[in-house]
Amino acid sequence: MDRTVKILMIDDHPITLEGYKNILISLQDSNSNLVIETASNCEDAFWKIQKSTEENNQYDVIFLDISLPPSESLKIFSGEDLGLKIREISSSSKIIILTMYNENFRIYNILKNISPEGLLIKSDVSPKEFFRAFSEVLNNKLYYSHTVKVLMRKQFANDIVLDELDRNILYQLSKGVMTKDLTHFIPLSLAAIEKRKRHMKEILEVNGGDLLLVERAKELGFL
Amino acid sequence: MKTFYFLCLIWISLFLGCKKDPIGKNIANNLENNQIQELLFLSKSTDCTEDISNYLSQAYVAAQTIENDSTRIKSYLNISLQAYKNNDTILFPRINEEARKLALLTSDSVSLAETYWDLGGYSKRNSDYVVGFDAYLNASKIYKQLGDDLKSARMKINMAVIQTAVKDYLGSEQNTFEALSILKSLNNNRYAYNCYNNLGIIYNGLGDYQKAIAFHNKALGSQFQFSSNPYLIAITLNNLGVVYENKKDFPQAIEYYSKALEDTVLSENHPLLYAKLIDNRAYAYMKTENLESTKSFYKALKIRENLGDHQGIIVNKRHLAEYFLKEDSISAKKYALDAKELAVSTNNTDELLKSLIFLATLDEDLKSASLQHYVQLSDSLSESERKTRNKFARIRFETDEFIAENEALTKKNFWIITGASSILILLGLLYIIRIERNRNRQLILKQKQQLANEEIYNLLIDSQSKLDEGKEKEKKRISKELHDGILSKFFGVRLNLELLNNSISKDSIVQREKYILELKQLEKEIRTVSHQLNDDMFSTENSFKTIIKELLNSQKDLGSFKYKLKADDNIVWDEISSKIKINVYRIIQEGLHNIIKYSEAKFVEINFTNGNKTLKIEIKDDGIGFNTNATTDGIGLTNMKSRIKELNGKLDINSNNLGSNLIMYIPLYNN
Repeated sequence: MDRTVKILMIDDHPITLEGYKNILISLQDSNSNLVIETASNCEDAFWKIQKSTEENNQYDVIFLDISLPPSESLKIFSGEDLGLKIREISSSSKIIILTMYNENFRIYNILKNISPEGLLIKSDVSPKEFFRAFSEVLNNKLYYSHTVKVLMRKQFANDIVLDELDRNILYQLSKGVMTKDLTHFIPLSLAAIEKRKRHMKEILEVNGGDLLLVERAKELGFL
Repeated sequence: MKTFYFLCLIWISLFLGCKKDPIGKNIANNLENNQIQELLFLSKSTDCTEDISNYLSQAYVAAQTIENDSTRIKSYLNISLQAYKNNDTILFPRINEEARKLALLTSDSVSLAETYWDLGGYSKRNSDYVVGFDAYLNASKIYKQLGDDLKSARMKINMAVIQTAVKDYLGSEQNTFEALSILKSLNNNRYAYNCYNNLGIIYNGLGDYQKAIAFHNKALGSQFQFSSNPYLIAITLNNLGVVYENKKDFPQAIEYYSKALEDTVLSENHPLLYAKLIDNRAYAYMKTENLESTKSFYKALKIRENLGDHQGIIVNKRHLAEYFLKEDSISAKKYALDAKELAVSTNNTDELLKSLIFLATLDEDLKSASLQHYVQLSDSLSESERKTRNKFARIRFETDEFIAENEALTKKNFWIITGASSILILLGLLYIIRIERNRNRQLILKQKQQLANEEIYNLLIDSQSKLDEGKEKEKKRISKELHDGILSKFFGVRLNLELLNNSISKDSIVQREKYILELKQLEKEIRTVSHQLNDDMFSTENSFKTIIKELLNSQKDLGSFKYKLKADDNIVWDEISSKIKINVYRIIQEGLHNIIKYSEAKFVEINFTNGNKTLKIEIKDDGIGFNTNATTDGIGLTNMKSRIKELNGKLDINSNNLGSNLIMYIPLYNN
């Protein structure tokens, strides 16, 4: 198969980028031609993607890290923002997200907002798995690493529906934010937040304080 | 029978033995009282002067043993009254004086006045006019003080009568009118007679017969109107007769005397007055050439001689001498000489003068001697009368002066008391205002201090929360660094090493070497993060030090000094109470303030040392120092001291011209 695959790897650690490259190079088919480019921050990445779109030569696969040096001027503050931008300006690109974050909330958000073709938690990743993910995505399939799959199964297993705001409340609480300060992070009034908390405690069958609620939410995979 | 008698004796002795208890005493007093009453009764029921004296002496002896003062005074007064009536010249003065002493001693004004009254009457009767006048004056004063105006007025009448007797007519007239006005204000007519009668006598003495007649008539009128005492009426009629006699209107005089003598029982009840009246009428008859009177002279003389009325006898004999003047000069001379001698022996100078003048007209031989005697006597008499009058005047004047002085003193006292009390009140008010103001000031000061303390407390809390915030930030930063940095690098290294794991090519060995180096690098990074974490912990423990540092930073430019701040690492600031921290902060603030203001220091050092359960704080500077022996500390040092005292701490001060060193020791646990 004489095919050129255009790849963009975005990560702020050179050694990681080097690892990705080494894996792809050592495990690739001999007849496939990989064009690999790298970017170590949001801005660099954005301009490369923008350029590729302008040249009508969009990347086939983009490896994206979530925690990246932000770009104030472009208002791209994280890999998540960058992912959304990619979906916007480079619609043909397949996105594989590799992230250190393993909190359910963040994973859930990534799946929901970007819906990447591949989502791997870095601690799950081995060279083989990395390559498999690359191959699957390249063949128009989805690839999720083990942790992601466990989370998704948990999500499906219970029919409790918590919307994004509920999850955000839980997430902030788990970070130790006081209820009275939640209004700084969530676009709701304090009364509304209290109401939602009460509601969540009801459906999660929690009899006690916020700490128990957070624990229960973790158990059920909302966090 | 004998045993019964014996028992009775014991019984009685038992009674006597009980004398000490108050009931027994009363019984004893009652017994004495009864005895006295009995003796007084006995004295009243006899006419024998000696017996009366005897009874009264016994009563007096009995009265002396009465223990109750007021009862004793009463007994004295009763006895002395009887003695006075009996004209007992030995017993009366003694009891009277003793009663007065006791009354003075027990401040018994009523009894005191009574003793004076008695003394007045006694002295008057014995012609001791000066003493009598003084006694009545005293009595009058006391009664006035007691508010008994009637008795006070009666005493004035008595004084006036004495004054009349010594021919102090003007003084007498004044006293009489005073008494009269008091009596009128009291609407009391009973004693008006005495006043009018006295006034009649006064004007008669002054030769103002019209007025004398008018007042005697008034006296008579008051008698007819109110009391109708036949004796007093007779006296006034006699007095009227005397006035007309002096006016040489003898028929009129005879009329009055006769009118008085219409009272048929007079000769029985008041023989002396009766004698006086018939004598006077006989004299008047004689003057009208009616010689019917001879019998009457003798009759009067006989009555008077029987009753021992010496004064009456003198007048009577003088009248007789005059009667015999024309016919029997020898008898006349005899009567005149008798009258003269009697006048001399009874000290009646008035009559003596009259008899001397008569003798001078009677006998050429006696003329010059009698006249000479007359002139001498007249001079000395008028002299002595003048002296008496002066004495009265002086007594009155002194009394008046005393009263005026008293009034002035009272007035003065009033002003002094008013002035003093108003000054006292003023001072009191000022004192209260001062105290209130001080308290207010203190409260304000306390409030200020409270505010300052609160401020520092907030500062502490602020800095704590700032620190907490910083800590939180630092935690996040480290977490991020671990997560995004080190963990990511680890991931990269692992990924690469895993890839190289199966390869044994020379190239891969070199590659692996590179990643192992990378791991070493990561070790270093982790160590760094670990150190940072530790530093973070370190800085939280030094929160108070940070505050002091901030304080020093804010002050150092003001005082243009450099500073060094040291604190032992093992001081656990979190365990030290806010009270101590607040006060220590304040103390250091005061210290710095002083340093900036006075010391001209260029370098300040503050040390916190951890002693054995004490915190040692040292504030050193290289300024010009201050006088540690100054008697009064400045406000700054006083505040520092009071704060240290509040913390039960100790302060050592060393200061010389090379700098000052303040060392404080604050106990950490008993605050």
